[in-house]
Amino acid sequence: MGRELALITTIFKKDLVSEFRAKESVVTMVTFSVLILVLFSMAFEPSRRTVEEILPGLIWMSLIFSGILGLNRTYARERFNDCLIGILSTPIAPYQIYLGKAASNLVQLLFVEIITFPLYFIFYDLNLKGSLGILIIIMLIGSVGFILVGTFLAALTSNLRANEALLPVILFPLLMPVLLAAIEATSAVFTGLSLDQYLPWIKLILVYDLIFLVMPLLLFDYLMEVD
Amino acid sequence: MIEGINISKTYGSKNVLRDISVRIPMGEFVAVLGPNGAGKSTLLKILALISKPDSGQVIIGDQSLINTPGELKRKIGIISHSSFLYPELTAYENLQFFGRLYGMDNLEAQIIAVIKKVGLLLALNEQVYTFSRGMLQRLSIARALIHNPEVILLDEPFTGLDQHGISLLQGVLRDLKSNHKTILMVTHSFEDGMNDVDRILILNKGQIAADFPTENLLSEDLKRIYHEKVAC
Repeated sequence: MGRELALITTIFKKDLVSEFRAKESVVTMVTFSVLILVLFSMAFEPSRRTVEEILPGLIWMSLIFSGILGLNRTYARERFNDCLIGILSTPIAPYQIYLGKAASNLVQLLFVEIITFPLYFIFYDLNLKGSLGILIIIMLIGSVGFILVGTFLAALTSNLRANEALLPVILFPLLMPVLLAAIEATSAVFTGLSLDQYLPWIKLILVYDLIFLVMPLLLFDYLMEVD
Repeated sequence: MIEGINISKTYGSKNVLRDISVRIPMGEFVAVLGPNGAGKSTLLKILALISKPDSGQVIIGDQSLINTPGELKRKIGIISHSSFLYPELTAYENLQFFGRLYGMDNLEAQIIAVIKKVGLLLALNEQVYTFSRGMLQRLSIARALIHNPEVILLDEPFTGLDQHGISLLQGVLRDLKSNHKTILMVTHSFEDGMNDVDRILILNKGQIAADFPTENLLSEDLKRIYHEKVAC
């Protein structure tokens, strides 16, 4: 177990160091996310009630779109110099590559969230009626679900032509359950509903996370086969 | 020792490898020649355990892939015309990354040893994107040897190298051979690296067209045999 975790950590650290040096994904993701926020705040002047209704959807959609920019880079980096073949020639199992990359993608997305999330409150003058702690948990588990399925599908499309355009097309249908649940749960926290009223949405996100944690572990070997 | 037994591989309707068997005893240096599309690189990828054959098996030492794929990969080092190196990382970080994937102990000492061997000690902490093609290939050699593999597989390793790089790689191959490493090199060249080769396989249309020792073989003879076998 310790050895397996060490291999996952090795991929995770390598991806983060590469990204830290190249600054290819995170800078683009943050810029894109902030641009959406600013453009929407300039385009509409909604009432407070409307803000509470639309903001959860806006937050999640901007995160998903900016997250996709990062996902597209996940395997592009490995294609350069045929690095993926280099990794696959070592004793690491494909599922360990997947988990290392998913963890790295999650950290990058959370970094974007930490920067942009407070800006939504500032730009839309929003007062949170529910618990900030629960909101953070919802953001975390929703992000985990998105990254797990996104990292898996990014591997699936990485060797295809027009993969950057293809990824969102196949990702969004699969994201619908977690996206819907995350938006509903976030909206409930914004409007100050009691936990009982949105607990089913949180449970749905957790089940989704579990499914997309296990499924790629079973299928990733096939995705990583080299012709 | 590395052995591929009855290996076949098909891409779509094309039979890239047709029931090929190859055995390279410990310490032997074998070169695989053949035209484009003969199946050379596919054979190398299968022997390197990064591509699965449709049928057949690979044995390294006395271990089969079916039982111990991870252990087997520890015995193989690959040098390709692609470096497999990350440009944003330093030479040290690249070697550390691959060393960790091989689960090596005492990694620091081994990194210094291999980087000295390829003459890049002064560039150890430089990011790889600043490296010339020759430096990249030297670091690629260090990466392939970091875990002291028993079997070295080379895929067109001389591609794009200048004379200095060619000399250095030839020196490394000579050194590996003198240390009784098993070496298989896929190449297009009749010259580069061929001085130390013990045996030549000519691959054509997914089959072994010729298999002969290089003892007393002149370069002209090799070219004649090659063109005879590939033409038919």
